[in-house]
Order: sequence, then C-alpha cells, then structure tokens
Amino acid sequence: METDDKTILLVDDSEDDVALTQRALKKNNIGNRMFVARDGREALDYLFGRGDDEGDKDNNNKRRRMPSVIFLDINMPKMNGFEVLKRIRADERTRLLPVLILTTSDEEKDLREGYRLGANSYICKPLDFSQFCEAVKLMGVYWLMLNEFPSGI
Amino acid sequence: MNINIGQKLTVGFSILLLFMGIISISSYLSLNGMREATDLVHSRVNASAAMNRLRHKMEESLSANAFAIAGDIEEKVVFDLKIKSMEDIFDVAAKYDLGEMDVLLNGVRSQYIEIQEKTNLLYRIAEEEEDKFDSDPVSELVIEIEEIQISMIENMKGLALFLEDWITLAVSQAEITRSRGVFITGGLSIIAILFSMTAAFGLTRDITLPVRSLVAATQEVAGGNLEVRIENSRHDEIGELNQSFNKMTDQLHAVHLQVTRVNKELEAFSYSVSHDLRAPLRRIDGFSQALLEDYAEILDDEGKDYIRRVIHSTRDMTKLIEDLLTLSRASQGDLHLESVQLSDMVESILSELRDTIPERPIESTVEKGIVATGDERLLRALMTNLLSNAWKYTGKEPQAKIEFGTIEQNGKVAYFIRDNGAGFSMSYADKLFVPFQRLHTSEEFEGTGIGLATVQRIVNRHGGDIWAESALEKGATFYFTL
Repeated sequence: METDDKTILLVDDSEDDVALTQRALKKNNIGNRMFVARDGREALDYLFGRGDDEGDKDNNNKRRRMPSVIFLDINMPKMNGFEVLKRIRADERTRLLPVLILTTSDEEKDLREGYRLGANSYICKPLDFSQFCEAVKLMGVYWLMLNEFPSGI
Repeated sequence: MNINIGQKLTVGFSILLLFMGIISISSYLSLNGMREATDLVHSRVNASAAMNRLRHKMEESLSANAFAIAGDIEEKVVFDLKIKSMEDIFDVAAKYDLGEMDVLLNGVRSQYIEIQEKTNLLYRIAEEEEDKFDSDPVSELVIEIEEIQISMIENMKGLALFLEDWITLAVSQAEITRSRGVFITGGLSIIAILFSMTAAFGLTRDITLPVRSLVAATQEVAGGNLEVRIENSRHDEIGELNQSFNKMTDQLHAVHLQVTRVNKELEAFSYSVSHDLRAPLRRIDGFSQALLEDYAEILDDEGKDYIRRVIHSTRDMTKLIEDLLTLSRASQGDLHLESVQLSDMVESILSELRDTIPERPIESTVEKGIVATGDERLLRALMTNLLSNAWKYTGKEPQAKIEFGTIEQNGKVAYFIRDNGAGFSMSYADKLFVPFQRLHTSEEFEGTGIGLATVQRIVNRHGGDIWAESALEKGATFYFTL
C-alpha cells in the first residue's frame, strides 16, 4: 500500500483503546506510520511544537511532520477533543487538516458540536470489535488512499 | 386605604340600617303628626257642632224668653228648661280648647246668666206688683234684656265665623303635615335606594375585577407560564389572595427550576454512565476477540468456549446499556411534534430487520398512508421496539406474519402491530410494561425487559394509551393511541 509517506495522529487517553486501534490498523496493514498523543495537550504539542510551559525540553524533537489525518477522541483529561479541534481550526498551519472524531459517544449534541467546530468526519466506535476493525479499515482506505489533499498543509 | 372587604360590607350595611332607622322614625313622626292634625280637625268640627247646637238652643230659648217676658208663664217654664239644657251645652263647649275664643264664649255665658237673672228679677217685680208686666221698671228691664240678647246673638255669629276659619286652618295644617311627611320619608327613601345601589355597584367592581385578573393569572399558570405575578397594592382579603397566589407561583417556579436542574443532572449522569460503561465493555470485547484470533493455536476448545462466553456476555450487557439509554432518552428532552409518516417508517424498520436475517421468510401487511403527530425520534424508537418484538416472537413460526394498521377506539385512532408468534397469557398482561419484567427466559427469546417499558413511556409522553391482546401461541396485538 502506498501509505508510507502518510501518517496518522491518534489522540486518545486510554492505553487499551490505543492498543485496540493500533491492532485494527495493523490487521489492515496501515499501522506503520502512526503517532499517539495521550491527551489534548500532547496533541497540540505534537502539532505546534509547543511545550515549554510543561518543561519538556525534548518536546520539539517529538514534532516531526504534519500528519495526514487526525483521529480524535472527545473525552480526555486536561483538554477534551472539542477544545483540541477548536485550537486546530484556529491555527493557520492546521486549519485545513482532516480531523476525524473517533469516539464511543453517539449523543446528538456531541455530533452537532463536532461538526460545528469543523470536524471532517464523526465516527462512533462500534462496540463489536470485528465491526470496529472493518470501520478502521474503511477509514484508512478512505483518508490515506482515496482522499486527495493539497500539498503543504 | 386599609379597609378590608368585610369592613366595607359592615360599613355599607350599617349605613343602610341607619337610613332605614331614620326613615322609620320619620315615618312614625309624620304619621303621628298627621294623626294629631286629624284629631285637631275632628275636635274643632265637634266644637263647631256644639257651638251650633248652643246657638240653636239659644235662639229657641230667646224666643221662649220673648213670650215669657210678655207674661206667658208657660213660656217662662219652657225658658227655664231651655236654660237648664243650655247649661249642659256650655259645659260641653267648655271642654274644647277654643283658645282666645273661650273669652268670647264665657262672655256669652255671662250675658246669658245676666238675661236669666234679669228675667227672674222681672218676674219678681211683676209678682210684687200683682202681675203687672207693663210697669216702667219692667219695661226698662225688657229693653235691657233685648239689648243683651241682640249683642249675644252677634257674639254667637262671630263665634261661628271664627270656628269656620278655625276648622279651615286645622285642615290646611293637616294638609301641610301630610305633605311634609311624604316629602321627608320619600326623599329619605330615594337617598337610601341611591346609596345602596352605588354601594352595591362599587363593591361588585371592587371584588369582581381583581377576581377576574386572578382567574386570568391562574389560567396562565395552568398553561405553563410560571413567570406570571399579580400586581398587588391592596391590603384586604383580595390583597391576601393575590399575595398567596404570588407566593404559590414563586414556590411552583422554584420547584420547577429545581426539577429542571435535577433532570439536567440526571441526563448528564446517564450520559456519563452510558459512555463510561460502554468504553470498558468495548475493550473486553476487543481484547477477547484479539485473544481468539491471535492465540487460537495455544488455546484448547474449552478456553475458546470461555472466551466466547465472555464476548457473549459483553454483548448482552451492551444491549442492556443501549436499551437503558433509549429508555432514559424516551423520558427526557422536549417533544418536537410534527407529522410523521408511520407507514413509511414501519416499512423501513421491517426492511432493516429483514437485512439481519435475509433468508427468513416473513409476510408483512402494512396499511398505507398512515400519518401521526409526534416526535419522530421517539416514534421511531417506539415502532422499532414493537416491530423487533413481533420479529423476535415469530422467530419459531414457519409462516411468520406481521401486520401494521389502525382501528377506531372511542372516536380516536388506535394504531396496532399484530403478529402470529408466541404470544402470552393475558393473566400476565399487567406485567408487560414493567421494566425488567420478562415473560420468557433468555434461552427461549433474548431480551432485556426494557423495550415495552420504553414503549409505554413514549406513548405516555404523547398523552396516549397502550394495551395488548394475546393468547399463548396465538400471536399478540399491541394497540396504542397518541
């Protein structure tokens, strides 16, 4: 698959959920370029290279290149997914970056809020793992292979 | 003014009573006055009659006296008798209060006594002179007696004229008394009537207008507007009522706000519970499947069976959480009423159900063009529950049938969903809609026992009713109104 030059940023606070998503991606052969942020703050550090206020000197090293797509959870400590999305859309560098909300919540108000803040997609994690695998496969195929984006974002 | 309605009524009635008292007293006084005036007229008429009789007797006696003076001894006897009877009339006349005329009457009386004395004197002289009635002293006496007689008759005439005036005066006085009585009593009565009319009208306005505004405010509150308050500047019973109304509405408003807040908290709570419970379940399911897939070689059949049971249980629990969430959503949030195409909705839910087991043969009859007014999201949950039940309980039926239609029930449209499945005994009908109450074991038919509770709550929120008819192995029909 021609996904080597494309990376995914997964923002999720649960180690278990990260493991399961990684497994699903691996099963579908798209797990090779994935970075994980464990909360909203870490995600922003990854994207913008900030982090001096956290006292983390190595943080700039963490910053590699812009991901092709962000999988964003909503419920997270410190800074939730909506806040992260707001910051991403407010910054010139990430304004157009595709963001998928990937969450267990199927509440109408969360859906509305997600799209209102500019999410490109909203995916409710299926509770059945095999269905979840199928969904991750479709997401990978769509966002990393089919979908075209202008370069340099 | 710090006068309450009770005091106003008391004051009004007291003034009325006072008026009635005054009218009674004035009526009594004028009646009394009229009676007195009538009595006066009567007594004067009587007095006048007595006077007339007196004059008549007097004239008779005077003519008798004229013969007596001429020497007729028989006439002398008559004259003396007349004098005697006139004494009586004088006595009667003396009883009447003739005012200044008493003097005149007394004058006449004394003149009469004088005539009598002179006549007696005349007879004495005549006897002394042996019945000589034509002597000089006798002639002188006769002339004197005649003069007195003339003057007396003049006096009597004057007296009669006076009495006539006297009666007229009494009559006109009685007339005046009567008019005055009528004027005063009538005037007072008219004032009393005007006063009571004004007071009644004022009191009615005073009570009716605020009661009307209170009624309007109560209807507003009944309609759901808890912001309504009544402006209150009164300090009477109506003021108290207004105050109580405002206090009651305040209380209601406070309770309403509290209930709304608690409901919001509950909503937030059920949201967190559903989210937080589902996440770990997803993980149990995910890792169990990963175990099954990645470690199939080193697990024996028993191990694999256990893991399958874990996966099965997580799915049961997931379904339970989903159903609980639907139940809690059915009870919360506002109703968005709109026209809902029920027939189309039923068709689409049935086709979703068919997709789950495409090879299952099922015959469905759906009445066309049924439209209901309700909240689309909730009605979909309602129809999904009922149709899923029909689908589920016809699972063992080789020729399954599901029907959707309407009947008329007490002038209202009742919708129904009928199946020819397992059914239930009507003796359990009261348990149908109780949460977690099941009529079948999980081995017979899967389920959480929440579906029909949700259905009932949705129907209730739409102000409708739900009931069912069934018999064991004869299928079931669920009816509902909206």
